[in-house]
Amino acid sequence: MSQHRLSPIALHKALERVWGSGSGWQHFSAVNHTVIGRRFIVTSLVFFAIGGVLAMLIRTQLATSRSAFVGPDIYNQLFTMHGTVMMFLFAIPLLEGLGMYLLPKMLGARDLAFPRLSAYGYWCYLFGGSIIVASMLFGVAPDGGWFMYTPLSSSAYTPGINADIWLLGITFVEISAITAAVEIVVSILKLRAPGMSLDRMPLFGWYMLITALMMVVGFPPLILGSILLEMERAFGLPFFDPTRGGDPVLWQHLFWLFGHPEVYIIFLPAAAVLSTIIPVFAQRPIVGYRAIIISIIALGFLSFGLWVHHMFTVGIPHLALAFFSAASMLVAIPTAVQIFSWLATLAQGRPRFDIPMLYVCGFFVVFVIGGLTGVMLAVVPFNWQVHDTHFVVAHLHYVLVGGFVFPMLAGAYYWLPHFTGRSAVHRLSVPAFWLIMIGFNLTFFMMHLTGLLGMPRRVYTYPPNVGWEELNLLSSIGGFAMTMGFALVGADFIMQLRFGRRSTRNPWQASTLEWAMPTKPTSYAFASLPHIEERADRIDVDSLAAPLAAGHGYLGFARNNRMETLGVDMVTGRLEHLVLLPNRSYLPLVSGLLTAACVLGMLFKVYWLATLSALAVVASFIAWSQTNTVARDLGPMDVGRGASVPPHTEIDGSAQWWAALFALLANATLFASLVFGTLYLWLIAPQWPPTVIMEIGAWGWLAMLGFACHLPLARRAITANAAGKPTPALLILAAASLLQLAVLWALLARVPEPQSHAHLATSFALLLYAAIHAAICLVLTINTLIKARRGAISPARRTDFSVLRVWIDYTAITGLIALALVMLMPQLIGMLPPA
Amino acid sequence: MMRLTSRPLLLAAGFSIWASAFVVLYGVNAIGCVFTWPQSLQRGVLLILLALHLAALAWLTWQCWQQRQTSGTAGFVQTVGFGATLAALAATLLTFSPSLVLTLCH
Repeated sequence: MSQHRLSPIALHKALERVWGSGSGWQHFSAVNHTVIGRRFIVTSLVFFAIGGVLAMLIRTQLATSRSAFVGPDIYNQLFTMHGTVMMFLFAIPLLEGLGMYLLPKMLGARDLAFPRLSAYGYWCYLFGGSIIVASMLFGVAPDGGWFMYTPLSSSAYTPGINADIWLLGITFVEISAITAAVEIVVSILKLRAPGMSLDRMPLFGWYMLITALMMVVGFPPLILGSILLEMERAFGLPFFDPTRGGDPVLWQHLFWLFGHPEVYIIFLPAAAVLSTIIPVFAQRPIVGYRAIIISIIALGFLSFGLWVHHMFTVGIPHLALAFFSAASMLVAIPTAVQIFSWLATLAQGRPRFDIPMLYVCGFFVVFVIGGLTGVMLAVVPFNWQVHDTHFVVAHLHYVLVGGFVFPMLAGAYYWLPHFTGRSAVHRLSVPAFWLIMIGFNLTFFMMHLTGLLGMPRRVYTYPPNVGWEELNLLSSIGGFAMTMGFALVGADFIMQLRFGRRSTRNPWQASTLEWAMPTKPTSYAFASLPHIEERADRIDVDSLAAPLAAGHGYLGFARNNRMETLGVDMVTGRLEHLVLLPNRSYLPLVSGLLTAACVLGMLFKVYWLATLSALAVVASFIAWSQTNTVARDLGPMDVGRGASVPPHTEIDGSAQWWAALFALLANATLFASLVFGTLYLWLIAPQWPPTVIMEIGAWGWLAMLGFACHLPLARRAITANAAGKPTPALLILAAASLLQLAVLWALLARVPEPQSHAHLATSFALLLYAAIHAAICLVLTINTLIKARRGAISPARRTDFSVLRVWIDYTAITGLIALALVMLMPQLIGMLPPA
Repeated sequence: MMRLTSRPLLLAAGFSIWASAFVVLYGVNAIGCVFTWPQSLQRGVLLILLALHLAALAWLTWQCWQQRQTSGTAGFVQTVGFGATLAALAATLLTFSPSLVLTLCH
């Protein structure tokens, strides 16, 4: 049935009633991508200011030799918190917030695929970050360096809760990163405007897609490392203790498996900003669209082959060092392809200069210097010479500030009219830029020299007369000048927000979709959705905006108080289905608070609180699932422009299914890291072979049989649902999962003293992983059962079953691998050469 | 049925083979060193594994070249897939060629 067409004003009011975030306390129930994206951005800037103050304290201490400003204990907390805040609480959340805010608007959708997940991610970030920062007020902030090397961070050398705050707080924040990554990947692949095939997607979408995929794969090794180290600290399982078969170098591997891709995870969104801005100011399309996409793919992979260049001095065989060294140099090539594409775009265009371009020029200078010192550090003998000196500090700041902060400032000035609806004042912008540019180079160029002169990083003081004093003083002066620059930028933003004139809708004459909407943006983004017929960074925005606002595109109406957007085929962009999004809800906040209670329970070792909170979090997730259901089969629905498509609940391959798949990809990376850790310790760690060996015998075979049975049972449940009678099959599946959980629990109880040796600790961890997943399958099955009983599932509305099946398949396969590895370990240990 | 070189996974296929080579060669090098394999045996195994990965990449590159199109989304996937696979082939050659000459366990 065709919808009655409303006037643009009436349409706006009708959509605002459905999509708006409410007023007063209702703001806590907001799930809208514009609101959540803004919250991420503003919160990350608050953390940036905190990190900046910490940097000033560091520079004050180092300005002179033998400074008595702070002692070593406080200094350790300062540099640890500076790195932690800037990396985990500023850079990653800022890029997530920018992606959340811009992606639906650039891709022609009304929202992201999972609005409640965005909101939950934000609360996790806010609460986790607050716990970490609050620790400074009590003098118990983490103090082992932002990469928390063991054994320094182990309980023997850091007995307080400083390291626990880092491990638990960062893991809490990482939940937010993983949820955001899954959200972004699925939204880019499935929630674009009809007609926007992969080859029409703007480069911003490509960059964010690869970045989010890297986050899905890159963050789990650190999450696993943090869990293992916390298990060692809290319960004595010796994964990193070399006296009991553990190895501190395993921590370094797990950390840098995350840590190096992290650099590119931060750089790629900044490159996305540059690839969006430069063509606008060059007044021509980007040069080398396809070459850039190939480069992003290459960077995405190559950046995972560099992590050992942070560990060149730990004693790894030369051949392996050569692999990592070669990959570290190779990664410069795709980076250079992008830089030359941007330069070519400027060279072939008619560049006009405005404030964003100042920061683009600053980026070119600073980032190229950082890239070149990166190639120097990729060379093993040079790396040995400057390892852990201020040269490395200089390099990483040139890369991260040049490759992230400068482009983000360019982006901030570019999109501020979109965020605020006001045009820039600009009186402060130019002096602010020059203070930042000069201050930054004065601060960090000097560190190359102090580093080459042998000044180690992380020392709280240094003696006079070793040639470091003048350079350090200049660094500190530069640091304060840079801070004044950032303060001016902040003042400039406030001025624009407060005194800026109303901006025109497309002030830069851009050609991407986010400018084809009112600014500042409405809650529903587009009053109707466009059909894309050319590359989405070459759109005639000005002629598209009015028809969309008048409701002439897809979904130019509000229906049944439902938030609706469109799903497409991920390759061709063909219109595929209607996505029914959940309305605003307090549940994400409740889940976030419960997760915070769980983290605090673990932090203060109140395990009953942690356990109860974890169970409550699971219950709240079930409530999420039960409150966004469709009570009857809807069939194909009118979406405007004469098209009708089924809702997402009635198709295969929905966004939910893809989200489950990408969540499992993250999970699989964590599991692969656990298998790697198990085999690494077996092969490399000291104090092997162990004196007590884990034999699980018949119980192991029974558990394997249990997992093998889950595969056909899941298929049978799907067949039963197709026949309209899912309940008996789901009951059988739930019983099987319960039985499996009992068998695995019994197996866990049979592990003899997992605190005594890393072999037993890793076996315990593998079995625990399998048991947790059996429990997840049980919860998912019960959730599906409740839905089936409530009539929220039918043979047509089958999405829950497809998600359940992919989880059960994953659990069965990883469970079989985990059990096989535990059962094989005695044979593998028998093969080890004598110690 | 979609042809091999029209699938979007083609975009990641080449560098997935590079990643596989990385994991396998790094792992075998570590195993060989711990179990003190003779140098000739270890180098031989490494070179065979490298050759297998290079052969897979060369085959994939050739397939992309053979089935290339120039227009539409399929053409885009094939062109970008071909470029990424070719880059992965070069990266594999450069990253792991030290297996030919460097000392293995020092």
